[in-house]
Amino acid sequence: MSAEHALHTDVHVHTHGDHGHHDDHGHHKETFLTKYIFSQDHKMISKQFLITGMIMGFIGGIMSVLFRLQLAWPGTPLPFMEGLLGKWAPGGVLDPNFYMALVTIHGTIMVFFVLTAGLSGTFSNLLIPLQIGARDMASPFINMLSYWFFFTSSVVMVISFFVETGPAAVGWTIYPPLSALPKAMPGAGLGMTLWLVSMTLFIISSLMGALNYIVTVLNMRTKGMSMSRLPLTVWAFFLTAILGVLSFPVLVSAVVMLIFDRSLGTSFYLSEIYLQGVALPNQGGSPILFMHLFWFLGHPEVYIILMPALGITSDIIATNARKPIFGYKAMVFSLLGISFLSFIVWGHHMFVSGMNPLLGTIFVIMTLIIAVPSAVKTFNYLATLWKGNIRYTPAMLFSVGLVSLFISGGLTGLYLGNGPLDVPLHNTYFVVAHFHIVMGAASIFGMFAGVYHWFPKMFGRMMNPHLGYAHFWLTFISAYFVFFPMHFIGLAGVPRRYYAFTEFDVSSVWMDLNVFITISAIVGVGAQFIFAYNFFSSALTGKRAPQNPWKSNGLEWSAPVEHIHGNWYGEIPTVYRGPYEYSRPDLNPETDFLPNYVSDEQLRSGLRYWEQDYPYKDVSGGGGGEIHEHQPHSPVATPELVHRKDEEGKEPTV
Amino acid sequence: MKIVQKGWGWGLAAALLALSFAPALGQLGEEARKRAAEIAAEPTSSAITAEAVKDLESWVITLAGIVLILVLIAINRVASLVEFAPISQQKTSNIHGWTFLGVGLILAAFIGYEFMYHTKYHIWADSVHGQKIDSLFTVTFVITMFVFVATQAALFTFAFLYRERPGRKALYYPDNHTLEYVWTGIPAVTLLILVGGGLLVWEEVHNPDLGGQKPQEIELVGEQFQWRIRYPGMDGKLGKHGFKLLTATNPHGVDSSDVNAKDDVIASAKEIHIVKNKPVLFKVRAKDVLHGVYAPHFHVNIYAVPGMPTQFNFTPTKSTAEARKERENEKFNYELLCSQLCGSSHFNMRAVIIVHENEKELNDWMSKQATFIKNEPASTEPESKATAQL
Ligand code: HEM
Ligand SMILES: [Cu+2]
Ligand SMILES: [Cu+2]
Repeated sequence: MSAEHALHTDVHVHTHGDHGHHDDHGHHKETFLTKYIFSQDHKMISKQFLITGMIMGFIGGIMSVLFRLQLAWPGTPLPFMEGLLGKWAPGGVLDPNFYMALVTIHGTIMVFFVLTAGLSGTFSNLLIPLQIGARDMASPFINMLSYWFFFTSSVVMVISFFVETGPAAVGWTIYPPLSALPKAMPGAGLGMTLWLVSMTLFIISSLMGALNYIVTVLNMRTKGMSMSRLPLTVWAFFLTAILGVLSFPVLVSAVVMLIFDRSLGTSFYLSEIYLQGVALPNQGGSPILFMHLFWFLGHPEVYIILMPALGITSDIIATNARKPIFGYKAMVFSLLGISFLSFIVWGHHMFVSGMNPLLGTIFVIMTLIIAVPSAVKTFNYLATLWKGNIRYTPAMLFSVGLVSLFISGGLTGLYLGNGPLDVPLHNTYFVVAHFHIVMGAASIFGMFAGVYHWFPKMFGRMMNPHLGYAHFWLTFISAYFVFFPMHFIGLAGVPRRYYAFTEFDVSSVWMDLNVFITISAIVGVGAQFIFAYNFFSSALTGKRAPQNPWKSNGLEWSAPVEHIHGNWYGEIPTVYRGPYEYSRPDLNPETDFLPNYVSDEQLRSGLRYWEQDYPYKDVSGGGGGEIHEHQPHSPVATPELVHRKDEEGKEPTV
Repeated sequence: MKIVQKGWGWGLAAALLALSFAPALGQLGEEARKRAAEIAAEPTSSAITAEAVKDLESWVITLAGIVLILVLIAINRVASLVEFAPISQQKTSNIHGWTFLGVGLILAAFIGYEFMYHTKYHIWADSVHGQKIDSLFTVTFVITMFVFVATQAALFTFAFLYRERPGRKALYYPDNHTLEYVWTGIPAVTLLILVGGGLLVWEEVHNPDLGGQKPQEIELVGEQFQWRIRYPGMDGKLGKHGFKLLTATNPHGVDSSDVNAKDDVIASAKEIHIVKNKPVLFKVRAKDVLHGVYAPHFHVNIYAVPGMPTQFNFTPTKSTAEARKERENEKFNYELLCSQLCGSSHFNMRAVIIVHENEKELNDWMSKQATFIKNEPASTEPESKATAQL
């Protein structure tokens, strides 16, 4: 808490000059509960999402190590396993049912809890208001609910580990009939029910969040922040939210029907089943229906995961290459294109499901079309780096890493999306390689990049860059070492979700490679502890952040370092241009960046206050280059009013 | 210099500390060995040699030790650097620009190694449609490899070349419409080619030209956790079936009142017998949950769906004997796997596909098999029982 105390002191110091009389309001009235637990402040909520997501991420990552140990040394007793997992690893050998449970929950946690809530939740919350110039989300209360639904759903998911039959073990895609028949495997019992409950809560959370993001972006942009000046981050969060709103409800319907099939005896997905000596009465349902519904969410979901990472890295690459993002418009249009097309390609997950081949042809065409905007994005990234002056912060390293992984993983999509090529590859390790690289690793890299880049905005402190560098190189190399070889395992015909490679000739030849992959995975997961250490120690004792540590153009860096309700003292700055005006020739050689909140007038005045490393409001009184001086006591904008409104239970609106 | 010494001093201390964990790890290993011995003593357990355990143990200990030491050294070194020797951002950028070059080369070497040694198990199909898939695969591979090398090389080169250096200025270059059109157009055209090829082959996969031959029908039924295999017998027609006829003794649910069912052959071993150059039609069903019929050597992959029959048509181009000779492996077998998660033993649903040289060989084998009616003399009884149950 000492760090918090220090921050408080800071607030006093900084506000002393012009807003001294506000000091007796505000943080004194906030209780621990309203500030840290049931906070309605988007910045606090974003930290809550991030930390919950990180904890889930560690759980998911450690699970992957456990099942990787089994794949590398199948059937070999590892005594600590029994210590850790008890009856799920009798004699230190992982139980096959529990192997599947680990894989399932690993996938679910990584896809939904880490890379949907942890990534979108964190950065949409942090950046949308700060980058578009809003005091908070459209509805801070719903925003708070969104986090608490997410938290509850995480708790339910974790609790499912402690039920008698173990957690859900039917794969993260929960295809019925396996998921609909509690008798079919232990992991289809109570654990499955909890999975469904958890996901329902999760979807509620996600919808609340997404609606908030959409409304905020559409309605609460500051003066001058037209859609064509939106940072690519905000475009990405905005479109991601739209995808979520349109696709998650379909998953809800699928899940509700599954719950009915499980407990009310309906037959949406069940027909002609003979399980363990008993013919079930269900007739007329179809598991294929579930696949359609699931992937109608499932495919947009992979873009829900990926697009925020693309937005984040676009911003970071422009900032650190000191160049405008190449082809801003093309970047926006490709995001739009990807968003639209992502709704009509879901069938590429079902090429061999027995779906009508004619339908398959349409999905082949659509899937390969969606590769075009992805290719455009790649080329634009490359063009942005070309002839830049690249400054390697940890965030920049992770962003460049993302581009590399995005290429590697994107190209293998051309195999899986092309129906006939998918026939031998479907449900093999080739798929595991593909989606881990393009969706898992790439998005995680985007998330790390975002954390390193905006950590100063979150905590007012800097992360230790050297630990960041070590974290990046270890993670980058191990990502390739773990996932690249899996392509070859898949091309040799080894299916995924196999507890052991020992039973088939096609798989048993890979035992030595499996050892290599597992060791790389252990190193990779180990490297994340460097990050965790860095994150928490820097949050508490890191170097105090300057106003604009990366010399970035974004509006978020005009807000004071210390966190205040309503984000800015005084009036919200006006925006005069897009956020990517780096290295403008007319400003050469004096400066290589021009924040979007600097007016042309201020620019001409010659006082480049934005280059200073101390909080801008300290230049107030210093004359022309000051941002909130225009209306220092604007009734809307002063912290005083914001706080008072808070106390009355109303939302601080603009 | 001092800093470095200090860093290494800490590193050494950390290493010593790590070494002091070694006995603890050894203890773990001891336990593992004991446990292994216990398990080996139990008659039901799978045989685990003490050798393997020892092997693993030394692996784990060495590894854990190395990782621990490295991590501790790294943390201490960089932590000390931060405190005592702040380096300028520019120097840092320079270091990481070079590192990109180095790591780029390491990754290139690694990927090269993978292609040299791990493509040896790549499956080139021994089936007619599979070979068409493979041609498309080759085209796709050439295109994607070209793009992969070009873009990754550009990325790593740019990352190296344009690293921050004193006096450098970035080029202000926000847009170029011609370029945008070019790199929208070229991928679009390339993908059009791939789509075209894809659709043609897709058609081949689903409506293969059988040259007027009637395919050999084989029924495959997936259940937890095995494949049930039924041949139509001499008449070439599979008898009717119904899921309500399923019993422990009638695992295919065959309707014995159907004349076509009488000579059906239900395989006793998990073997699928087919003939080289003769089309095969897998008629696929599932009893309980989804399964996937997956024969990687023929590029055959189709779900087995409860309540919805599916099928897959293919023609093998090599006999098992030929395949063995070609691979110089007397034990080689074409395998049938399950590709869709179906429960705890999903990883263990093996069947073998035996491709005979000619029809005569197949018939010889077939004639030695018991027909359905012999297997199932009282097959009408379970039928009434099954109906009664409902
Ligand atoms: C620590 C790094 C990771 C390792 C070593 C790892 C490893 C694996 C492996 C080997 C499988 C397949 C297991 C099998 O088929 O039997 C798997 C499944 C999966 N992983 Fe990861 N993974 C990692 C990180 C991630 C990340 C970041 C994501 C985020 C998208 C992710 C998402 C998934 C999904 C969705 C599945 C499929 C689960 C299923 O089949 O139901 N993983 N992981
Ligand atoms: Cu998809
Ligand atoms: Cu299976």
